[in-house]
Amino acid sequence: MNNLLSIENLNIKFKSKKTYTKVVTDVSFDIKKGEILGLVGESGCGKTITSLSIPGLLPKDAIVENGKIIFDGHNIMDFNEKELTEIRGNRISFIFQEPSTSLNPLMPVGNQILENIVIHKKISKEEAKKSVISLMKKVGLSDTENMYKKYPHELSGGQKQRIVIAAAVSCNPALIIADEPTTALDVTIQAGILELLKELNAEYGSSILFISHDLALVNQMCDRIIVMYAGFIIEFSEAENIISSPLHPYTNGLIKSIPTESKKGKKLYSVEGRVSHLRENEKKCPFASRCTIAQDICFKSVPELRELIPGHFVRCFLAKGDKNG
Amino acid sequence: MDKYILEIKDLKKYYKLPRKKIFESPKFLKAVNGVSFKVERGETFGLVGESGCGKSTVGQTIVRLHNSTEGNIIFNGRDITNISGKPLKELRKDLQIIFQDPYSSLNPKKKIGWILEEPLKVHKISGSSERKSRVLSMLEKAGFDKSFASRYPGELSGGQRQRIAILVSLMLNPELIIADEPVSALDVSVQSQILNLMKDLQKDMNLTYIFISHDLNVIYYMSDKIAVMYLGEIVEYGDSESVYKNPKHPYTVSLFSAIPDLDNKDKKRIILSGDIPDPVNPPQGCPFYTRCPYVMDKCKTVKPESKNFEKNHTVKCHLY
Amino acid sequence: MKKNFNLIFGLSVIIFLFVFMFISLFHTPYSPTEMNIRERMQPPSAEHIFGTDQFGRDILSRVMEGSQTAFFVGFVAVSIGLIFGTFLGAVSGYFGGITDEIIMRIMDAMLAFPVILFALMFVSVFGVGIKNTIIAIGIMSVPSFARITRSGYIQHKQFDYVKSAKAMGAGPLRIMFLHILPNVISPIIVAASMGFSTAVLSEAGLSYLGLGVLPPSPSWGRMLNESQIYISKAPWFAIIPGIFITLTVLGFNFFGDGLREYADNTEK
Repeated sequence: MNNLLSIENLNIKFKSKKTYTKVVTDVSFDIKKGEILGLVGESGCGKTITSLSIPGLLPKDAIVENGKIIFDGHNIMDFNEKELTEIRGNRISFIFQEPSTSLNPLMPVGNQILENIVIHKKISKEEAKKSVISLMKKVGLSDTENMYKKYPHELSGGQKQRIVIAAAVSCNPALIIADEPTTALDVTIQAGILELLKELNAEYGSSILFISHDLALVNQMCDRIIVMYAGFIIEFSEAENIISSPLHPYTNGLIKSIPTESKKGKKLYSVEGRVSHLRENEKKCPFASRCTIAQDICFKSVPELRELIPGHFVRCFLAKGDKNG
Repeated sequence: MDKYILEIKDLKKYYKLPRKKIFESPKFLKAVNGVSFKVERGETFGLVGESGCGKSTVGQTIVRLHNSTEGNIIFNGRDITNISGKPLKELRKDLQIIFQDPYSSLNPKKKIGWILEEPLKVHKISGSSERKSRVLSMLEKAGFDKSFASRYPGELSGGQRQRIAILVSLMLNPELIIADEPVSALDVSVQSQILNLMKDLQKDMNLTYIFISHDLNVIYYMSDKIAVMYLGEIVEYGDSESVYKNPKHPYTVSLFSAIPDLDNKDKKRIILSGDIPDPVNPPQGCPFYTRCPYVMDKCKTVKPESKNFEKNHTVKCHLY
Repeated sequence: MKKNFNLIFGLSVIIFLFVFMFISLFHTPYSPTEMNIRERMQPPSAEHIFGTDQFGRDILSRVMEGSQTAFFVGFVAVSIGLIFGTFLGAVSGYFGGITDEIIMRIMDAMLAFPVILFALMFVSVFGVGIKNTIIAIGIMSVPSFARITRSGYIQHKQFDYVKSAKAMGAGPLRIMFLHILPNVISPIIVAASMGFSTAVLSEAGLSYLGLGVLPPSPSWGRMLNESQIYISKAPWFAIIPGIFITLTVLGFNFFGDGLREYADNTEK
């Protein structure tokens, strides 16, 4: 079996005032063993909710309508809290955006890595501590003996994120979910963290679900990219295909709106309007109201995600296989 | 009129830190440590650097939200470093600032119309009905319907809010606008709207921009000149083409290489070791020597001087 | 959205008391000060719903008249505290530094002083009477308003809209009261509602001690005081004003809590 994780037909909604808002609709994808899969989209597209649903960490008011999350051959949706706790931090671990809030401010950083090991593995404290030190070296921290005893506020943002990563890989997880892991960091620090994630991926063979709003960043990190919009997967393919020949008008617009060297002096493309989520039972393309090529059909039914070109999926009635969306 | 609208000479801004012990001599956070540059009328001057490099402090000091510790700010040929009272209030008309976070820069309890009219009221410009019609014409300029005047900021999206914030800064017909990370808090698809609007308005109203950002692609897209800041100093400055395509300072080189680039996925990256030093105790000599891959003995003790390359490209580095 | 029980309950009680007070301005069943020795200490009956006191005065009428005193004291004392407290808190929070130090240390000193003790001193220096009672209670409520206002200003002065107002040339007073105040007003209003009940309670306490409202004008606290020697013979005499004091305090406290809940919900 090649797939580590398969999500099938995931639907999540939130209750809002009178009606329900669908934040994740009909989301299905696989993560292969050892791959770095990119999940890209703007704020409110449902990427974080999707990722939180994997180890059962959804907020209480989220309602999962249906869908399966098959991890290593088991449907995690059926797991009880105790079974989920065993998986979290051990088989599936998280790296969040903000390193300063994902660490406990009152616990020395070394202990926070230790904590994760002690919970999941039955080894002595001494042994665990040794492995913490070696982990800290592995994630590129120096002066580890000293740093072990330091508190989060004594560390820089980049160092903190390295600690978070060390904790995340401490139990050798099969899947690491990295939700905007470098967004709070500076570019020169970001480059180091990305390099580290790639190294760890190569060395331990952990799969990484890499979530970001930054298409260029995801392109740099990942083999395959999923583009989400308003809770839908609207495009899915190899990174190269997405960047160089996007099929969906939204992806295409997004790429055209990013300032790059070649666009200097020209007007930037911009996607007008704002994201609106579909209400329950609303039938139309989620992007229709902002789409420049939308036609009648787009306002009447929800397009399916279809494989337009082998290996390149798109959720659009009008996309054509022969040229850019 | 003078070619240069603004000239900054050796600007320093130190913040006094609270003492930890009673008899300790006070420590200073050197946010801006000797910055000089000139801005030409009508151009966009890009100021790029990472968090904590002092770029925002430079911007806020120019519009006199802070007083500088040392140095001179010369605006339209007049030294405005220490003016206060009425002349300062008059100056505010010509010198405006746009902030990063449109969720905090618009007063949540006031309607858009009120927010836009306020600058005119503060300076007692024209009568009430004239002010109101000016507000409406400005709204139209940025592509808003008139009805927006009676909405609250909470009803607007981030991009719309930032467009309003830009309009607020333009109400008094300023000459120079400091844009402090104006698109960093926005989604990519919205960013481009703001950048386009700023460019259009610049042409329309003869504006000069100082555009501050950490995002090099945005800076390059917007600017005619680029200055790269590191630890309170400008380490490299020049025409944007020259700096972007041919960076000289090792910091600029690594900064540029670290930026994910859509056009070029597998470009070679130079990864810097270590973190930005503490601005309370900046290193002696070159501020960058602690992370520089080409560090020499000289760098640790002697502060590098500005060196000229070509006609308009200066670098502070001992390598050259 | 869940029904805001606190707000609804508090508001109903306040409206009830207000109507009660409003009617008393024009009509009371009997004259609240007219004595009738033959009818002294009557238990509640159809004629006198709440009974009569030791001089045969109708307790319902006196409670009604007393509600005027309570509302008047509460309203004026809270206004004094609100106006001065908000101003001092705004100045303190906005300017910070040495101004803040001086103002807040004075406020701390005042907070350390028991309200009743201060009122006792104040009244003994300036004379007994409703005016001085109100001033004393008002002064003592200044610090709590100042503290609440100050913390709002400290938070809001960092926001960019304040910097933006500064950069456009708006002066400090304009920024403080036109720009920031609307954003920090809701906790102040909550505090005002709570302050109202404190003021009513303080007035009752002072009047009970004989230092507040002078006889013969009725006050709930004074009624309590007068009733205590008859407590075994005429318990209603003590219970009725007690109930009204409790109702007022509860009403305004619930209303204050409800307002806070309401503000929290709408700000998200």
